[in-house]
Amino acid sequence: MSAVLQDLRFGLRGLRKNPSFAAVAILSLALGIGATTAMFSLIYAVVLDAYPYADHQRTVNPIMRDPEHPTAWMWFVLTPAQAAIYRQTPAFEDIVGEIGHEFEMRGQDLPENVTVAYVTLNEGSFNRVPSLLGRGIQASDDGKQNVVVLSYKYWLRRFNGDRGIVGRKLQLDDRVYQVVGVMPQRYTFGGKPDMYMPSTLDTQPNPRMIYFAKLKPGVTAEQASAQVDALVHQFAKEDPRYYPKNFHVHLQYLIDPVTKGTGASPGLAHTFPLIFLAVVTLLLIGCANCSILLLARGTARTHEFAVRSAVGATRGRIIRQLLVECLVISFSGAALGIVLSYFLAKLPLELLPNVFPSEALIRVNLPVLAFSVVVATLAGLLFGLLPAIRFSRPNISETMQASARRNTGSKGARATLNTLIAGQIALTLVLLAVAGAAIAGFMGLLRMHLGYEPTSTVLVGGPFAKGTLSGWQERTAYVEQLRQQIATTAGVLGVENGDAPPNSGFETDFSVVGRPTSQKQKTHMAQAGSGYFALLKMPVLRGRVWNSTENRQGLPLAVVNETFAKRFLAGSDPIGQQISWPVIDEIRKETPPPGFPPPAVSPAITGTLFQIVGVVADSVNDGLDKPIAPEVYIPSTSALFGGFNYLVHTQGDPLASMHAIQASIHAFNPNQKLWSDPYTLERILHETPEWGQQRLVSILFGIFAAAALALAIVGLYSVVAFAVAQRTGEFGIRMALGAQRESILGLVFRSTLPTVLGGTAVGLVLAAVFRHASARWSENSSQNPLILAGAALLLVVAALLASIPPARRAAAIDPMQALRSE
Amino acid sequence: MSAATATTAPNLIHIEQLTKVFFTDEIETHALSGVHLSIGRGEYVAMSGPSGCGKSTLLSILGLLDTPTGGQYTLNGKEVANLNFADRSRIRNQEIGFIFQSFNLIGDLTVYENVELPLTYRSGMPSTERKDRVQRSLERVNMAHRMRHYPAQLSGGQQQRVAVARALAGSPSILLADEPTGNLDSKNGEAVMKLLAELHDEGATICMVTHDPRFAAHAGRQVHLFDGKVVAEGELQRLLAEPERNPSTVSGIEREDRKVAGETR
Repeated sequence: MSAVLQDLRFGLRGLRKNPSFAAVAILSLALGIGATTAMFSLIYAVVLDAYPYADHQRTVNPIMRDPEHPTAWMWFVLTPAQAAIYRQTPAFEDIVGEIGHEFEMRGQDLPENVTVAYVTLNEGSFNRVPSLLGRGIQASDDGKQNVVVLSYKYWLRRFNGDRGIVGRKLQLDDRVYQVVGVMPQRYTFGGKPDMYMPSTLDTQPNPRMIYFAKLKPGVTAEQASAQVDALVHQFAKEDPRYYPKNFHVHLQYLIDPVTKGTGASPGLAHTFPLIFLAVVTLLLIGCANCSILLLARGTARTHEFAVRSAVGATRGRIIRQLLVECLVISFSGAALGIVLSYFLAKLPLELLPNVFPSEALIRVNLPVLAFSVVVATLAGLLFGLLPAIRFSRPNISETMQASARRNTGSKGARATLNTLIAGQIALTLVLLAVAGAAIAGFMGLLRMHLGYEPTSTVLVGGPFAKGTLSGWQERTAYVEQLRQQIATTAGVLGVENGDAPPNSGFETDFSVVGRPTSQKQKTHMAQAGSGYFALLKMPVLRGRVWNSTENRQGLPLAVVNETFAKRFLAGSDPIGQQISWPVIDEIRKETPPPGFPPPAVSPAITGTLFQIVGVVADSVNDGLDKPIAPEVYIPSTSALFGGFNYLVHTQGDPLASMHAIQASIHAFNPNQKLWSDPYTLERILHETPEWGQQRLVSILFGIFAAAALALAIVGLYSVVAFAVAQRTGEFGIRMALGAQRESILGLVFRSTLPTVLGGTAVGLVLAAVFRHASARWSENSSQNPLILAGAALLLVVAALLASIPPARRAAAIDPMQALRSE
Repeated sequence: MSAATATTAPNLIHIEQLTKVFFTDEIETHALSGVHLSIGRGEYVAMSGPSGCGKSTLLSILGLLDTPTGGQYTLNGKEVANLNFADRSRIRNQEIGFIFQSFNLIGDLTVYENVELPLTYRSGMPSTERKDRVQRSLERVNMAHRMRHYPAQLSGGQQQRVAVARALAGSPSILLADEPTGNLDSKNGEAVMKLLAELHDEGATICMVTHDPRFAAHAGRQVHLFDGKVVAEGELQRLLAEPERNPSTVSGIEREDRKVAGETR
């Protein structure tokens, strides 16, 4: 043990005496270990320890899947009576219900929208998460006291983390509630609401709730799904209004949407392998760099090893000493890497907020520390073993008897160094190529022709107040008056009713009158005011759009996009053709949940037929990475549901105008609530999973590739500098014999070039192989060979630049001095 | 133990028909060609000869820093010519103390740590004993007051004294010194030779390579090498003077040398 401590002391002293070596080696590893630890922190935070809820591994979330719409997931809601039956499912230990609602918090200049999750009274015993302040929802809450529990984020944002908040009164809509507690940071049950209220039928707006279930120990989700599927089909038979025609129930674990993805977004299993490969590559490059530095330094320490060996150190002893020194470096790197990882691991959570569980929290905890210790140990052994084995058997006799010691470094050592640097260049090129492709793919998204103009436009919407505006006429008039009111707001350039792209409308069956209908014939259907296309700069290619009068009348008119016209109306003039939508009948018959107004269909639409009056240019309408879907737009007043949506085009940043817009709406109707959190069209675009994923891959790979390039430059610089130091005598002789400085420079570059070109060639092959694999994860990555060539050129230029300082040093050698040192 | 009494002691080192050939590309260099030599316990042997005669190669093989190509080498009664690296390391650590021309101290270790170094490679030695041995060795060479210094802070003579202390610390069976005064001025050279003589007087077995006859004179016995073979003093002078050498003469000198060695048994 004392010998190990001695090795440790010597290792630390060695680093202290060679600060530049220590800094480069530690930083090389810190980048690799930091990236790897960040990856683990992320996996730990979002997969292994994603939820603070008790027994969350047994908690399942029921969804319905319609085989005809595999990408659409639906949650089913249950009445209290059904919930009582549902609770009796043999596979379940318990169930907990929640349903979201929006309130308006008053008592300030403008009302503020807050989201509230009503939770069943057993929530506390189900999740067993202790509150941060006060208490959570508990079984004794019967709804009469009007209590509210704040979420951590809302408490911080709205009340600046005031620890005296418990007991304060808040006015939500027209009632006063008392704050009884604040939940901890990771508790975001019910979809990140601002507040929680106890669910009682007296108070909650909708008796139908979504229920999570906790499985009995040993029961799998598949086993439970079979039981629940039969039960829910029975519920659907009793009241088919809330269920699709065909469906099956699937219980998924809480973590499943994160790892396996949802119908709309890919899971982490999709992106993580690529990122994992990248961090391992970076770690390998860092290890190679350390090996290079150790080999170069070790050659200078040949004498020391010979002395140690001469006085009796065995090979194993020298290997142990060198490995202890390597572990000192790798653990120092790990310490720095942990700090880096903390920030790096947060990046995906910030770039893909909708993909990761909101409960996930990046922390440096014991498992993360343990992981980094394991990685540091493995890395230390990995980069230290080769130099340790090489230097453990020095040529003692030759080294010890030399009257003037020179650290010549064998041909074998130089070959090892060149192999390592070539490998490092090859791996760096792969990272550069993938990063280049990902960045090019993301640039492609930035330059993507959307078919509409998203800038300076914000989506503003709200619900119709309960018990008001029950008829179509009243709603139409209200929506139009409010539109005109908003249009008069300072900074507002235009206001139109309609759905927000790029995922506008909903998919529905249809048929074209006089044409055969396929069973799988579906189109998107979106609503649009008369100025909608002009506001979004979507050109009308043929025919016309309804005017404002026609829109107010809710006439059965339609405008189709190009794709629709080409796919379903090929060979004939679309204008004047009629489309039939059975869904209109379903909307007419729809019974809303109690307390919600029923949808109102325009009296002008008597049947299901709509006449096509125009064709608009295609715009992105089904996500960013899928082909444009056929779409039909109908007047915004054709059917009015529980609320309204306006697209408000403003001068400059629309969020800057939001206060004025809200004030305008408040002046028009002080009781008019808005959907919380106004979304700009750009934000909607940027929060699509495709955009987020491509941006994440681009940023992470950009960081990794830049780090790898820096490491490769440092590694190459070290190798060239080492070689120049070894050949000082040779250069001195050459110069004494008349060699010009240029020829020495050329000599150094020529000795570097084969390694660089060899590494680049291997890297090109690897990148070509890897490109096919990476395309699976990064669909928008560019496959342009020019990117590969550009990455190779960048690397070669960087490598040559790294060779310049030592080459110049070689050319500046004083022949007399060099020969004297020989 | 004095040099005079040592001649009656059993041989510590015995080598027979030792050869060493270096292979470089396609060239064979015969550094040692059938050397016979014995060194008794307590002897002080000086090996001399012209540059390239093989004396340092022979010392390396004696010190188990190098392996012979052929022949036998018995150290302390054990055949050591064909040991593996680990066993040679162990024997070097326990039986042999080295003193080199260029001191071969490790610059990053203090004087104390340099002297302690061979003891750290000895398993099972308590730290108190290690400390005690280092202290005694340094005191023996009058360097105890510089134990916290680094080699670069010492003069050449002081560094060589530290190297001697390091060689002594492990209580080896033999001290092998390769041109120990080669990098020192005459005053420091004399001081080191005086130190070796004192150690010999205290009972140490010493084998020293030197090309300086003044220093070789300190030894009780002188062995001369020429072209990889052991020759007598007079013969050495003659061979050096003659451009054409007579192999049979050399062979006869070797036989004589064996005879002398046999008498010492």
